[in-house]
Parts: sequence; structure tokens; C-alpha cells
Amino acid sequence: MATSPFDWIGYFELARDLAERDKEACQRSSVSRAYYYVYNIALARAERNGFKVIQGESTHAQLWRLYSASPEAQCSYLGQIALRLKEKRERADYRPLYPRIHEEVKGVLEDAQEFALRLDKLPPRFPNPKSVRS
Amino acid sequence: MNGNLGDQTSHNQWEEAPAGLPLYQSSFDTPSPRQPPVTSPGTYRGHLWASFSTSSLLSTEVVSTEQIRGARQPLPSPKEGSLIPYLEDQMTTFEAEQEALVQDLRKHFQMPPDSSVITFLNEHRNIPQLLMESTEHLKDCFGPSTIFTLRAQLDESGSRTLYAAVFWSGKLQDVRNALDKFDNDWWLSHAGQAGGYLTFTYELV
Repeated sequence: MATSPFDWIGYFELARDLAERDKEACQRSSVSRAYYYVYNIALARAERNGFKVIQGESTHAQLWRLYSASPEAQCSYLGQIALRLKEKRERADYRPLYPRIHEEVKGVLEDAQEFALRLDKLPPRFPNPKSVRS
Repeated sequence: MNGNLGDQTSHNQWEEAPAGLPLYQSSFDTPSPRQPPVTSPGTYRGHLWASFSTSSLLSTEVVSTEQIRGARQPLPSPKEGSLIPYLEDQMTTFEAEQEALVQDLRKHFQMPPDSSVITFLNEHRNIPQLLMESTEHLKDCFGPSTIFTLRAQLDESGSRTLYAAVFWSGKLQDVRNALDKFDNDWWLSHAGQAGGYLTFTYELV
């Protein structure tokens, strides 16, 4: 049993491993893991800055609104990357047809990596929940 | 409130209603501009032609013609003085503009046959205008004949996001480059206005 907090980079590493396999199930799961990597590192940053989830509404939607509606342009851009990844994750998890997923998965991994790099460079005070209208 | 005009706030303005124009009782119980309230001759109820003040909004007292005539403030035009019809006119105009805008969007975006997107656009009133502004930039970046499809996608928790997606049969890198260009040329400086309810993306086909 794990005694230390999980490092979400593990999800990204798993996503990369899955992407290299031929099975569509692996590629779909890769898209999903890549998204959850992004979601969890973004959530951790937001919570450190005081982000509180309002009960009764999607945490994901609230989180990406926090990033997207930020007056800080880099933060807003992260929100856009994430919203696009979220849409691909939902397709991967729920839609029976996902054309050209073996190509798409490469773009998803690039986006997830870019998200993490940009988040790392973002000043620690962002996203700031106080700067965004609820 | 005692109904004495002298106690009204100084910016409250009064005027006798011109013949044939509607009378109102109060901002909250006005039944219809076309149905004058029943009053005794020579009196008007409430804040007839009162301009926008809190006291006038709450006023329901009966006042006499003389009181109205003796009011010290300059006479406003009927349009300035009647809050409810003014707001109703404004809402009607706004609704018509919004409807026209949504209809215009159909020329540039494909929409699903159900009402999900229309409902979404009606609930997020700034998004139709943003979408309309996006069209020329989309054409610049993705090509003049490219058609985007709107989809108000519901997630597992019941939250909706509007996705404007292009169905792309070309190379992955080409559509990613086009999206990057669109982001940098226009979208990233406007995305904040959508508040995380809208994004542009692609689907490979």
C-alpha cells in the first residue's frame, strides 16, 4: 500500500506506454490517462491557491473555467489546452467510434506534455481563484 | 413613504400622463402598458412617469393631478419616464438581436438538429457574438471552405461546454498548425470572455 502521495507523472508515463501498443483499447486508455495527468496536476496547483469546488457541479468544468477565465494569458491558454483534452478524453471513454485515434494519441501526448511544461513556468500564484468571477 | 411629492428624492421626476398614454400603478404590479389602472378622476397611482429612483420604484401611493403638476422637477419625455415599457422595449430588442445573431451563426456553423446548442447559446449570451467574430479568423487559419460544427457536450457531471470542431480529413500536423495559428492570431486574446464555456478544436476523420 502506498504511503506517500502518488506522483501524477505516473499517469503520463503510462499514457506513453499505452500509446505505443497497437490495440485501440490501449490508445483510448492512453488519451484518458494523459487527460487525468493534466487534470490532477492542474487541480493540485489550483487547490494550493485556494480553489474550492462548489458541490453539485462538475469539478472538471469548474477547474477549467478557473484557468480559462483567468486574466493571465498563459493561465487562460492552459484552460484551452485542457478543455480540448477533456473533449478527446470523453470521446475516448464513451464514443464507440474514434477515427484515426492512433494518430490523435500523439497530439494528445504532446498537448499533455506542453500543459505540464507551461504550468511549471506559470508563476505560483496562478490560477488565482479570487481573480475569476464565479 | 407617505405619498407627499415633497418627500420624494430630488431626482424623482413627474409629469401628468398625456391623454391616451398608459398609466401604471407601480413597477411591480403593472399589468400591461395597454391597461390603465382604475383610479378616480384627476388622480394617478404611484410613480407615474417617475424616472429611475428607488423611491419611485417602490411607490404605490395615490397622487393628485395637482401634485403632479406642482412637482418641481423638469418634465421627462415619456420614454425617459416610464421604466417598465422602456425595459420591455429593450428586452424585446435584445431578444430579437440575439435571435437574429443565432440565425446568422447557422450560416457559418453546423448545428445539431436538437435544441442543445440553441439552448446553450441562449444561456450564455456573449458566446454567439464571440462565435460570429471568430468566423473570419477560422477561415483565415483553416481555409475559406472549412465548416465548423457546434456541439454542446454534456460531461459525466452534467456540465456543458460548447465545442466548435472542424472535421479534418487532412494531416494531423496541418490541423494542429492551423489551430495554433488561430489561437495566437485571435482566440487566446478572446478566450477569457467565454469563461471556459467554449473552445475550438478538431476531430480527425
